[in-house]
Amino acid sequence: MNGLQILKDTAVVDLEQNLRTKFLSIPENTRPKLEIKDVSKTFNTRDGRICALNRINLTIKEGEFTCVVGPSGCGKSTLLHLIAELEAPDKGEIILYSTEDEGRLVERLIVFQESALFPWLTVLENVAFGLRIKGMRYRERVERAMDYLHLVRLSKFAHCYIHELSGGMKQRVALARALAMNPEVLLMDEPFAALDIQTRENLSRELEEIWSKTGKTIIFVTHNVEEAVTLGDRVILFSGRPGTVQKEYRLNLSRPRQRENPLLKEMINLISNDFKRLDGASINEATG
Amino acid sequence: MGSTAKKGGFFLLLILTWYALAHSGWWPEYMLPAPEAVCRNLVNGIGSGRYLMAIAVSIRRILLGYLISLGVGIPLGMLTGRLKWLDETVGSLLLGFQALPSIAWLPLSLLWFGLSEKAILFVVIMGALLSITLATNSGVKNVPPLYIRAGKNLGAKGKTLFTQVILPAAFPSIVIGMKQGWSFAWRSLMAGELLFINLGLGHLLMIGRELNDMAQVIAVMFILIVIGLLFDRLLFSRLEAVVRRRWGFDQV
Repeated sequence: MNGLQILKDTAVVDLEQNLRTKFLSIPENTRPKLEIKDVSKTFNTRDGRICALNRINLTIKEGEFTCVVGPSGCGKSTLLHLIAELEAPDKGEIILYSTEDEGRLVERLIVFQESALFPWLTVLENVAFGLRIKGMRYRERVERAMDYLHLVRLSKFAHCYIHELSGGMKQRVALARALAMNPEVLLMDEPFAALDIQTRENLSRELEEIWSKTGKTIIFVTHNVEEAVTLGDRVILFSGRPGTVQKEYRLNLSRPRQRENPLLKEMINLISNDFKRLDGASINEATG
Repeated sequence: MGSTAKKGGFFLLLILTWYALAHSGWWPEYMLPAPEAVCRNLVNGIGSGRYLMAIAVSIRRILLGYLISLGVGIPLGMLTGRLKWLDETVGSLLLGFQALPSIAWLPLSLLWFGLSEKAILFVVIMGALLSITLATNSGVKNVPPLYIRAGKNLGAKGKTLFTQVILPAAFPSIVIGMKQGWSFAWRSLMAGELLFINLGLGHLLMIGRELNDMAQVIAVMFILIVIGLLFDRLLFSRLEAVVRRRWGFDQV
């Protein structure tokens, strides 16, 4: 295993320094953006209490692209909802270190698996929705919304309604709507899961590009290991019920990521194996 | 052949058949008047102002009753849709009342308000209010939680969340309720006017019957159809078109 060392629970892939790319890579010592400390969450359901998350500890650095991978029902989405303050944790705390920025309208934004765009508004009005809520003036918000539609290459569709778009286009509008608010952290909840493979790969390439342009801190939840490895600086593996952090992998692979890169493939295999072992264990637990 | 031509041909054929049957002498005129007799009646009635007066009175009654129903029904539906305790109490009461045909309120209304405009207004409101309230209620309740989460996430809360997310999301359902409410109100009004109230189109229908004047009966029925179609075209078709265009329901 050349260039692949496993240190304790952290797998580190060394980047060959001569393969520096046009994209900026993240310096090691940036300050933390988000700290998740000892967070637990339990839900009451008809079948009793379900512990969705158990004592999660994570630190996310500024500008970092973090992917969270885990079997379905492992509390990944719950974690995002907690970070987005749509729900409150039972125990522990989540601290966001904000920076001053006049253009910042919202701290935490989620892009949902289904795009959650509003059918009664046009594409442009959807992207400008949050800006309007925050009281931005008409001309200003239209301009800003158009900028972000340009970024996701959908400015031609500004005056369409949502049902006129394909699944991939909807997710790009949702991404533009989120980015227009200039959030501290962008939370993505399996945003490409409902799309076909081709669209999925295109969008993930586009997302990587947009991330490198905007330098956003992104937490990306998925159950697809390949997607996580292709996108993330860091992959965090969750176990199922209750969700706990199992392993963490740091990926210093060159960007833009090449799908043919053997290191990337090796990494996918490594994480997939760990993932399968975990999934198998949780299935055995459930049946046994 | 275009659809307009088809329609035109069909109605022409219908009128010709009617004409032939009326002049065949098989039925007395008080059972089947000729089309030209109905036409003459319509022209005279409108010319003398008698029909216009009745139209004005009926439309005034239904508009007043309908607007009150909208003004009360939409907020009531929104409240019962959002507040669980209100839905479990008032909501279930309204659901029970919907099982009651609105004209069944007439005796109660007469005893409460006497033979007055108020009595007919009450019946019209009872016809429209429940459909509007219940449709708004279910529209608000069935807003996908995802929209609400997304709205909150984008910074909408409280009143803003309600007016900018929940209400527009419930709009298609509210339009259905408005349309149904209108047709219930129209039926209740006609039933009420037929039974007791002076003036109005229903009353003209009854006078036609009492005088064995079938031409008048049919003429007034025409007017009722025209008014119904007019409101449908002017108001509800447009609202439905907005919904279809935005939500894309016509592609299903």
